[in-house]
Amino acid sequence: MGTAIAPPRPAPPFQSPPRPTRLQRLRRRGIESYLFTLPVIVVFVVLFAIPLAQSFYYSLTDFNGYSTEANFVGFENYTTIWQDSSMLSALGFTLIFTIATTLAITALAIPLALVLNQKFFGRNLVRSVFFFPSVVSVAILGLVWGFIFAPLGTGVINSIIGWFGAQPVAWLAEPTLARLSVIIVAVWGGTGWHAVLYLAYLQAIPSEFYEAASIDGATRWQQFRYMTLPLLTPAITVSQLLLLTGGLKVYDLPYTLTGGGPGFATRTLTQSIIENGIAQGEVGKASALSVVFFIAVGLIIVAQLALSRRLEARFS
Amino acid sequence: MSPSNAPRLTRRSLGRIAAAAAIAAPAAGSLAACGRDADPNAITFLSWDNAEVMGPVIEQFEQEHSEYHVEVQYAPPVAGYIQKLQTQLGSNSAPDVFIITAENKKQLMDGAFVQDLSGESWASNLNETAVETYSRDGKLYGSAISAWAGGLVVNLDLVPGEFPTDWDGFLSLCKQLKADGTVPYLEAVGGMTDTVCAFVGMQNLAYGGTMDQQIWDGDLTFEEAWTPAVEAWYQLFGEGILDSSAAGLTGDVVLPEFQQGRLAIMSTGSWGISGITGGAPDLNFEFKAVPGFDGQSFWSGAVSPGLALNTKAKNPDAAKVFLEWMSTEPGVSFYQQANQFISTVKDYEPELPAQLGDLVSAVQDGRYYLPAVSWVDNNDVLAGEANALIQQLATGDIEPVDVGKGLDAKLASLQ
Repeated sequence: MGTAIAPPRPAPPFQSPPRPTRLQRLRRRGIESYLFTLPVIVVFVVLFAIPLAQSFYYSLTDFNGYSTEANFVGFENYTTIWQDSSMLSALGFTLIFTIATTLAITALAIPLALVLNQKFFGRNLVRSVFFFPSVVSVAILGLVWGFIFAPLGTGVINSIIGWFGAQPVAWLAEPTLARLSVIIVAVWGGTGWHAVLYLAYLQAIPSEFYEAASIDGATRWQQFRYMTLPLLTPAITVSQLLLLTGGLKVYDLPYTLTGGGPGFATRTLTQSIIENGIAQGEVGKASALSVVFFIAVGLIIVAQLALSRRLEARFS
Repeated sequence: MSPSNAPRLTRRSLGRIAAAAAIAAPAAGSLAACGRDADPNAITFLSWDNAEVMGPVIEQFEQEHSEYHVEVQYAPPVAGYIQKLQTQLGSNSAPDVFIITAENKKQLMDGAFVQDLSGESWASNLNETAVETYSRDGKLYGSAISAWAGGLVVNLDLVPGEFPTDWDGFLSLCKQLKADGTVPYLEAVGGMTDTVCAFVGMQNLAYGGTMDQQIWDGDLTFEEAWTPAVEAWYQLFGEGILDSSAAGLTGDVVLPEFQQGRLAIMSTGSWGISGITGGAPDLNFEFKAVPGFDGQSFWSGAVSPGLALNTKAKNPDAAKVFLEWMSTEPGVSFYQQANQFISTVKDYEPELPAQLGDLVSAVQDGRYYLPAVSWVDNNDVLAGEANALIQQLATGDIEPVDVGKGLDAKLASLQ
């Protein structure tokens, strides 16, 4: 009896696997990952996305912050903000403050970090001393420095220069000196913090690099110029990003030190936004300024990051 | 889909989900907590005075009304307070009781954020000027129990004898003091000072007390009304009594100079007396009115901010108990004795320090003026502009006439 061979069964027609439903895709990715990010998403939406959308909406209205009614006024607020001398003054000082503090703090913090990275007696105490100004509330710094810069002969600085026969200087009363005073205090308060940031990056540079460079005959300056500085570029990026964003939105220090005066000399954009928007009931106008400010800050930060990346690529 | 193809929730993944839910839950919980019912015996209050001033007052109220407790928040006047209150009103989280003042009364009344208090039994205890200040259409929206005035404070040991009542006499006195080696006068020009306000008040009198209404009606300009007052005040700089450093002074810097006898005269309000005596209890000083154009001295000043009841108060009955206590003898006397303000309620006659001098009668007679209170609308915007203009004048950046011009321009931009 011959072996009966069953004829091969026809292959079933090819069927693509069923397309997973959205729920399945969600499960496959892991529902838990969404749940873990939920608090952050809630915070982002509630504290950032919704207020930003609201600001844009209010910038197109005459909302005064009290009334429940808001009339649509188009882009009128965006044109009027440029006609207000106080806002233009605020824009000018904010930019001066940002650029000056960024340059000055960077120029001082890097050498300070190099010094603090050396071994010497009392190093930890010195590090703490330089870090201390960043621990204290900026508002308190403003009040204390108000006494230091007091324009009377009994003010701290005027007392010191008085010992040398100099007349009292109106530090906070003359517009240019008031601007300079605010910048000096900001640099004094921020240098230590940024030096510690640079110090952290410096300590990550292997000491073998410097040993090899010394053996090759590199001078201290050459070691700094061709090794330390390039390796610090990521730290410079981070530091300047923080300085730029912090400088552009500065409010507390000028407000507590000078109240924005004399006149509008040390008024900042944030102060204008707060005072116009809330205290003076011009929420529409202040919102327009906020939107312009948000876009400007975004563009500056993008430009700064692009520049930093190019520098990092060049040095590395 | 057959069950075998479905991804299963393993014990491990279930554990992850539980952990994630545990993290997410507090976020949802914290939001949900916002809607919980409030304690019916709690009175929420946003104080204008700081904790040092208001804390003992609140404690006293809670001692006398042990069934209630006050949940108090603090915000510094003026801009900081208004900003905080506006934010709270906008987010429906405003306290039951808050401050109504010149800078925000129009917005609070327009927006119906404050309840009418005219029907309360204790409303008749308030001074007529106070009622008028916070009333509209016969409805009372704030309980103001005091008024204040500001002028000059004179060290009587350094300035013995008759104090001048005319401005030229005052300038001569300051120049004489300076020639004798005494710092004659300091004024913290952070904005409109007591002297500027008093001079503008003299102008208001000259225009029959309707100067601001005439400006808003278009019959007068700030330039016309303010320039003589500002020019008179600016003589302090022209005569070398003050210099541009005044724009960088604060009251905290000037006060020790006066307390320690290094300064003959300074300007401040009646509320500053406790600060002076606190640091120099034996100082021989007295408040004097700002000397006027023709020997008619005047004061800056205003009815003090009032207490208002939130339309959406969570516990309005409890809040009214607090308002009544604060507006009648028990609360007023305690508050007044602790803080030395000039109470104006009818059922309590305060014992005031002798150093206040003529200031007390000026307050009782209404011989004071404050632009920000008298302006018809946009008070806060104009006050901010006026403050900046006065500072710019002090630093020499503008001329006296530019102050009025600047205010005219600002008002025009707002109308």
